[in-house]
Amino acid sequence: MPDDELGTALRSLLGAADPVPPAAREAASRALSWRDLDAELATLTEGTLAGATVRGGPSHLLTFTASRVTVDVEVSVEADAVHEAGTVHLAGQVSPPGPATVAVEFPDGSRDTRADDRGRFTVSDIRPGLLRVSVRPGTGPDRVVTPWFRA
Amino acid sequence: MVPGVDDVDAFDPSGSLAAAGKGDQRAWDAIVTAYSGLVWAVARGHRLTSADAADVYQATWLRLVEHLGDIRDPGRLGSWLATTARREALALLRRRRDVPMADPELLPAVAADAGDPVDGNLLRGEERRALWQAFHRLSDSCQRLLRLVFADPPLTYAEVSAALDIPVGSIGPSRARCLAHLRALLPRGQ
Repeated sequence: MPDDELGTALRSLLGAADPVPPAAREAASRALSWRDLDAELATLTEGTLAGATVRGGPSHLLTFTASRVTVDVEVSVEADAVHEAGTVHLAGQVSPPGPATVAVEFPDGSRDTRADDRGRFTVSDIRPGLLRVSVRPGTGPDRVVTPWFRA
Repeated sequence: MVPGVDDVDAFDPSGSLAAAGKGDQRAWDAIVTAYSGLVWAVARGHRLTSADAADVYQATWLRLVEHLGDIRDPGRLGSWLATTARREALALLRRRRDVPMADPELLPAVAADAGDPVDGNLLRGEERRALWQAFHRLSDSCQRLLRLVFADPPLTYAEVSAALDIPVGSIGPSRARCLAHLRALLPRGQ
């Protein structure tokens, strides 16, 4: 078989045997809904978006900086009887410290919470995977969203 | 003008990025359609399980949504996606290091059985199986390269270069070498 023919055969084979799963393709289409034009995208200034935490291992700290607010997030993965990969626990600190509306967002949903008067918030029992944190300090309109990171 | 979803030939990355940045779902779907195969091929080329590849695939698109407003060179969108998918795949692999994984060798066999021939005249039955088996006996680096070079729709060499982090000039020779290996692994006469 000449190279061209072998290549064509391979292209046909790969496309048929290993197509993009329809559910993934649909999720990609829905990803645009996470475009958040009203929020400022914070910059990661400490830590890694890749997710350094392993189950039962030490937690790791991420720091996100926006123009008027800093969000520290401590990520830990706890062993779980049901989920083999464990569950994720987030402990956050909004600075300058103060109450804030907080949402932890996943590709397929979100969990709302509030930061207390000292700017602290926690969210537990999260499935490991991609997530980001959206913070609206005080009662103001300004909202900050972190890049997606892996926990 | 925003190209239609099936109108890949007329796909205009610059216009689609600008429109998608303003929330235009049709423009976004045109981008996903044009590069879905590329992102999937990069993820799968890293020998990720189907679930992990889907995770990398999704992370790559979320990353693009995040950066719709600041892709500096829309003409290199494919390379940007290839680079992003490679980084997401490597990040996930680093994370998986300590976690037991299904034997990747078992996965292609299942996939091969599940797939239906696209073109029965071109390749079928035994020949198809033989090609698939030969492909999976190639080195990881050859499998990865051939997946990209023969992705559908085809990738440019610039995109392959970004996906593998190798020089553009090495792709042609590597392609020829990997195809020669593949041919040597096929039964005689195929």
